[in-house]
Amino acid sequence: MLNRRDVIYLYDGSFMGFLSAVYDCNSEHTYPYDFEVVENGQQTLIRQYRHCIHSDKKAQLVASSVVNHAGKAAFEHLYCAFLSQLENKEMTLFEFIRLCMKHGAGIVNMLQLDCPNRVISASRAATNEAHMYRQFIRFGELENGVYYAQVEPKNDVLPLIADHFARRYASMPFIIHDSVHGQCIVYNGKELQIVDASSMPAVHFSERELACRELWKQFYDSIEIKERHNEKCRMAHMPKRFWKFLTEL
Amino acid sequence: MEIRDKLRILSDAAKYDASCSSSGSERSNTPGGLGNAASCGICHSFSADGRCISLLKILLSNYCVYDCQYCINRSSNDVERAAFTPREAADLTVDFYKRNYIEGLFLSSAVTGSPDNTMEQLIKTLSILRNEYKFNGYIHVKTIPGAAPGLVNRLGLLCDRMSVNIELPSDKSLSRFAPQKTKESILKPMKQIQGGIIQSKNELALYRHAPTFTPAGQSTQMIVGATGESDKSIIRLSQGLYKKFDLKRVFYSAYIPIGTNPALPTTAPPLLREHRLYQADWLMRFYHFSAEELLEDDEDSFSNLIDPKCQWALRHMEYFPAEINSAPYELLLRVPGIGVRSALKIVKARRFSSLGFEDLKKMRVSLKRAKYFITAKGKTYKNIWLRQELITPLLLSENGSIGQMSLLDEPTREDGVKCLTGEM
Repeated sequence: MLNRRDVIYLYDGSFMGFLSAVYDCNSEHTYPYDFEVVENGQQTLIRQYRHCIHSDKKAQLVASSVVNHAGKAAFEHLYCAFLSQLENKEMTLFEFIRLCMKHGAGIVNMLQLDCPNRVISASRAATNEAHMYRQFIRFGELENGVYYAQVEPKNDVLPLIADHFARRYASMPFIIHDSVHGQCIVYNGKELQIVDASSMPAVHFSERELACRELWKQFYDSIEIKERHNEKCRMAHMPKRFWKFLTEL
Repeated sequence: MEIRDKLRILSDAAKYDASCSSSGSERSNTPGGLGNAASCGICHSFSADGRCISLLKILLSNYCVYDCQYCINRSSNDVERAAFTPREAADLTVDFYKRNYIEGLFLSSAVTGSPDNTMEQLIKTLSILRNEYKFNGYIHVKTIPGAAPGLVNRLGLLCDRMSVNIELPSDKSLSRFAPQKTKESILKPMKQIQGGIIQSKNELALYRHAPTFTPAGQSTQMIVGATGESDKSIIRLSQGLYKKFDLKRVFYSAYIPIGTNPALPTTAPPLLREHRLYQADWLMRFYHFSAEELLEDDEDSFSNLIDPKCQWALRHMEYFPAEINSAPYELLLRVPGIGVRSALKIVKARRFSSLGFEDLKKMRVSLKRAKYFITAKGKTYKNIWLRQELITPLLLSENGSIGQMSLLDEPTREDGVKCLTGEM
């Protein structure tokens, strides 16, 4: 039984940090008022705050108990929803973890309940956007031979797409820069890293890159069947917000 | 000639091939290699006509010796001609692939010299990609009707998907408009590919490293609206192809007036008809409908106003209304407006508690058409009185003729937009 208390749990903003905060709540029998990220919280006087120390060990315990109770699918939804823009995110996920323990693996199918419904919709939104980036990222070859792409995702999709590109371009160094969340995927041909990067130096594309872009534009123009021109359909499949970084448009 | 001009001419010549799917293959990357194939398929762009661009779709050459009347590359047509060398085509593929422009290559060719000669060129291109560049992305290749079986076999070991176009939906039309092709010359390689796939699967079961033969299967395409076949004969033909040759896909392409033969139509492409055929195709592949159910013996073609599933449901009101809390999955699948995803959601959620219309809305099950065919906890939607003679006008008033036109714009909205383009 958890006691509702007017305490706000502060964590470091990472997924593992959040899970260790959840562990602390449970060990202190507390149903918190809310969770907040340490750096952007403006502390008020009327609430109590509790700083949670990031602990991979505690987080691992919460993670494995979610997997053991409700299965891998539920845990994946939990993770993807954490990367999404779910409203009142931490409390919803806290409730979701409790429901996982209560209902078991069936939880991912109980879409008639508010909490799982919201979590799964949010997780779907994040994975859908991640797929969009698997489709629409455009790399450009820099003068030093590294391939560079910039993205502006709504959700924090980099962790969801990193593996895909590292597998695909296993021996090609590349950088994917998320200018909204200030993060970069850096792959040097062997190791994959996600690093913080608030600003990027100016990029210089190679000459070959520019020639290649011209060819791609040519292909894009000539592949259209003019008799079937259909602007609405194109936009439905390829929303306008992605067009900014598309070479062909 | 510059590469850019070649690309312009040869992609323009290839664009009438409908297929651009990159799904069904799970080729993984090799050490030091480039690329892999995602089994779901990935569309990397959409051209201004709304079709997906997943593969670099080009002809190796458009110097054709054949004179098929419906084809833009027929020898009697006065178009610009060009040819890539195998090396040029392979380089282009790798350059585009590295920039995440494409998922792989769709390579076809006009018949230059002889079918065997053309096949040699295709094989050379693929072998540069696979063996020299260690390219593990998706490759879809067209075999040339009339080529030697040995060459088809070699090509199959290099590609992910192979296809032979059936072109026109009947033997009669074929002999009329494509005199150099016969039904046999098309079905023979199809049969051979099917045999190769089965053999390769059997070998893979025994030896993990046995070579794979077209792991993503084969597909075909036919042109709709150039000749007089009815919808009924077309979908029955497709069903036959799916059953007999284990095809992954049959593509339908609305005829675009590019021929000069006076017997061919000169009007705009029948896009709605093409759309209806795709809907029927989906119903056969994912909804357990048979061609005979969709268009019964006394019907010839699909309605312009309602989709094939509604058409079927309205003729079979004895199954409806279906109670969503107890109807079997197979029946839920047949409710107009409920797709595979929604049906699965309902079946899984109702184990936990019985569902009302509010729950369905929350689960994002579309009720627009479904509400006339279902009950929830014994009640109809907003207690409307379901009378068979009223349903058709209600459906039409809701869709309206304007609503139907918008279907034209978005050919696959109902069936999950991503299916058509290759992610399924």
